[in-house]
Amino acid sequence: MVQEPDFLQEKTKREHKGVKLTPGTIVLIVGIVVFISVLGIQLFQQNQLQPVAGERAPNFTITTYDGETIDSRDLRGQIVIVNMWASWCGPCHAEADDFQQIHEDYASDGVVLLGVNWLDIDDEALEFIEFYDLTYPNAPDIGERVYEAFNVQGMPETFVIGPDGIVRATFLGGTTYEALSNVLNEVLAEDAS
Amino acid sequence: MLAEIGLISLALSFITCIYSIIASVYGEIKVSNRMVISGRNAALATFPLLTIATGALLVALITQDYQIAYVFSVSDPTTPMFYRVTALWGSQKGSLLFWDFLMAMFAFGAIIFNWKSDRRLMPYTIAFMMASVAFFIGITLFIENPFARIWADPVTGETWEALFVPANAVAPPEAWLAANAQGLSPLLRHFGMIIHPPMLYLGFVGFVVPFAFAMAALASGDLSTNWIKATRRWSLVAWLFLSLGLILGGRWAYDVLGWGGYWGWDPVENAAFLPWLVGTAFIHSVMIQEKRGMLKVWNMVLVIGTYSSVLFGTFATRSGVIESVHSFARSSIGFPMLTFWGVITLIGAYLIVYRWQRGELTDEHEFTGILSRETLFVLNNVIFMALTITIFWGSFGAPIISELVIGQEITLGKDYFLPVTVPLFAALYILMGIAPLSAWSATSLSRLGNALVIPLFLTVITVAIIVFVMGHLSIGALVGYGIVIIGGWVAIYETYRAAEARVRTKGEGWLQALGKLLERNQRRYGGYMVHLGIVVIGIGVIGSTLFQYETRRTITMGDSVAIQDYIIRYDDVTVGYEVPNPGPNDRVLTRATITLMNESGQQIATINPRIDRFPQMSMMIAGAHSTAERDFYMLMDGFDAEQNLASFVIYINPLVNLVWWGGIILIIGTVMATYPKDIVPEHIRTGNKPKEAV
Amino acid sequence: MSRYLTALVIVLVTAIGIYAQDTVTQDDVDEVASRMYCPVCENEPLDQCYNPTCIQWKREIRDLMDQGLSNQEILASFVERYGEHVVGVPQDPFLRFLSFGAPLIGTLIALAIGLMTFMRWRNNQADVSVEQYDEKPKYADSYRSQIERDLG
Repeated sequence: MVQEPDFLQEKTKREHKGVKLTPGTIVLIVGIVVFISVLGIQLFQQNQLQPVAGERAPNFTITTYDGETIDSRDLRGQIVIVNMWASWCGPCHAEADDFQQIHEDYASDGVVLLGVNWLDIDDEALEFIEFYDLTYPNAPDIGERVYEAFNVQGMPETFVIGPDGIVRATFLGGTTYEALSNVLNEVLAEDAS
Repeated sequence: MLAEIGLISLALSFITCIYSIIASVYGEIKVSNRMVISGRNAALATFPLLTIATGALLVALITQDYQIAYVFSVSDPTTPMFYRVTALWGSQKGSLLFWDFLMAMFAFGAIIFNWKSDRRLMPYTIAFMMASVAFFIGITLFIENPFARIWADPVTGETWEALFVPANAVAPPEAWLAANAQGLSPLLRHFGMIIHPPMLYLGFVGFVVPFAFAMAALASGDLSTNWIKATRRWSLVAWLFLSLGLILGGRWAYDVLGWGGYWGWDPVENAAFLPWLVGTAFIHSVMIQEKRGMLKVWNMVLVIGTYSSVLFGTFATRSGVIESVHSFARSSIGFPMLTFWGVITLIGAYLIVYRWQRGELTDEHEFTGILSRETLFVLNNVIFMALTITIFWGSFGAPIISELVIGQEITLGKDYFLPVTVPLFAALYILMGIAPLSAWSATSLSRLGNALVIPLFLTVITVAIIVFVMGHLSIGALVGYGIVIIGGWVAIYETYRAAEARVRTKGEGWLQALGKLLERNQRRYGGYMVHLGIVVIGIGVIGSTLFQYETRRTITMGDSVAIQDYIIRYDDVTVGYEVPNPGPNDRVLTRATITLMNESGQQIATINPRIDRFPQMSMMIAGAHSTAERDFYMLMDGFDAEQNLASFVIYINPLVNLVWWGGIILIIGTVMATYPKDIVPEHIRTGNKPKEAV
Repeated sequence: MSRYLTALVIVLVTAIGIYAQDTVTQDDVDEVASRMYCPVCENEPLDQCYNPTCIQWKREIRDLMDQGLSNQEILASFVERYGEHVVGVPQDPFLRFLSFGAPLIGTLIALAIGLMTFMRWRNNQADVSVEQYDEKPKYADSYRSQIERDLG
């Protein structure tokens, strides 16, 4: 069974070193490379984080619980606040009154506040809206498209988007009237100048 | 101090790895024995260095050196000593270091045991093994370093993590560190979880040895059976640990995760199952090459595929490319791991194609009948490959493609996996019954039929007994049990026939005959034992999947409820801390007392399902009454003290214990097949010179 | 607000609320839930999941059953609202075809490769027998039985 491997011979036979590119070989190599690339792209997308100040906000379309369809592109020129929430999340409850107050105080300045509900059964979401008397538009995130577009990771998260569609502030977790109004005043002042 | 020791030895081990790769390859190409030996010595030094590094982290965990960020993040002063030790692999950084250590250990063993007998393959083998080790040490050292320490700004008191002492920083006060340290996740406080990762790791890293030998064979051009002889035992050892890891993982899920099952087709479970499938195909297929010089390309693909799927599984589990209950937190090692996996796979594919095109992987024996053992082995490979593709597609392929191309996330669960894998598993079981009876080169149908008569007869009887005892009557059950069991009887009957022949012709006693058989052909009879284990697992899986009964009941305290053949009475519930003087991380136990009775109201057992509530999470721990035929498995998933109500999930899992028993048989069989009679290499025992001197 | 939160906490503490029902049994709900996945913790079947969203969803399943929807209709309604990843097998015919078709093709490819291996053996054997006519036939019965014996 002892077989002599041709070590030294191999060194003299270097002329046909390398692989002949037969169709099968090409398919194999290309297949592996495509495979790796697909995984790479997927990994890259998985590692994407929420847009932060200075980055462009993604576009989205939602239909509110009242049946009104809102396309984020139609809101260009206005300051938009997107608030992701869920009825079971504690910080969402804590910030709900503040959001309503922001809406009441800033709607006249052209600030559009959008509540986007994540994963709740509609009844639960409506109960939440009713409980806090929210009058700004709220919409279910059908198919989690907004959630995906903003790479949201937990509830709640809030994005303040400038009139040019660039994110001005990102709040991961709960926020307050004060924090929001600071950002809004800044953006409004900047807008006026 | 410990951090410095660990860090320095980790860095040194990285250097010795890199050096040994360069020296081995250079020595091989320039035919310089001195360089090759130097490369080997550097490779041998890696393991002791990693032992020191791992030891340093272990000592840090035991001595509660909370300044080391890893110790800080996985333990706290209340953590018991046992979990302090096992916290070594409780989180990403430590488990990577532990992984490096185990892989270096296998490499060390392969060099020690195979250096003389496989001197020719060794330089490249060392290079490929060390390349793997170096990669993993590299990500441990540069990306996920477990020796980073916590530092504080003496003025502001602000703390942060850094590897080296930052300017103007001091170690935070010990009391602060101890008070703020985080404990180990409660889910991991179970024996199965403690022992299952090391077993899986051993299985995973163990395949680096067969992989490296195969790559060395391809790279050096020594494509004789040398690499197969060198790796046969290593493959079985790795396979043994991988099997053990999978079984223990299942047992842990069954005991702790509280869903009445042991296999959930979760992507991470599947990622560990893929190397097992490819590896199992390899250890079968390689026998054909050893005995008949056939299937050379197949074997190369399978052995490289096994290691490639290990790397893929590691990547998938640790990178966050898929989301899963098991996954480690998202981390930055994803891209390096993907790259390494891609490079290894491409080099492997390139070398195979290269040797193939040069005609160096041509099969030696050419003739085979349609019904021959060779053909059946090819079919075996085909089915294992199909299973691998199917499970890979369901866990990774379809979800990723769908999300990337169509923008639609999908999940594939048991509604996908059962219909697509069951026929393939059934085909494997049938092959397991037929292949051992077939002959090399050609078998006639009638011969095969004759050999099958008695096992078939025994199978029918066994199925009848199971159906009678368990009361399962359905076509699916009859066919399923039959398909699964035939392989077991074939294994037993073949062993019996061989032993009987010895008893008859040599006048040996039965035990002696069996012992001699095993001694003469370890792998065959060990293999039969493994088949038997797989059969027993199969019976358990069919019973507990097809005939599982699941129900959810809300019961008022004191009431009795009939559930199938049982009556249960909810007697009591207690709520309280587990220990008298609870600390912040101690659990609150909500423990129900249930009396389990048979149909006529006779008490069988008292069982205690409970809810363990930790500060951040709760776990439902099942109460179970376990017998040979079935488990009565009960969880409490809610209770209402005011109304004296509690809700329970009840599972009756027929034959589930056979899964664990089969696992034990499988392990025994593998040990029988692997047990090293010749742990001392042949040339030393016989006094012959090793091959290189021929 | 505190009233709301108290109510919430009670739901968290006990999952009993989902099932306080008579016409639809808990097992009926689980039947559907076991074919769905928790939307928050990926890959955890809904019936085994106890986070607030899952509890809500199970209650919704029960309500929909009460309204007389079939299991299939319930699955479809969840998919429409939350996306395909909440069920164990896609409802969309194309995605379903993609999911099940690919493994079938994979199996066929594996079979084809196996067949190629086999055909190569047969073809090479034909060549050998012509070129090396005078060699002792490898498949002679004596030879075969010798192999059998050697391999023990």
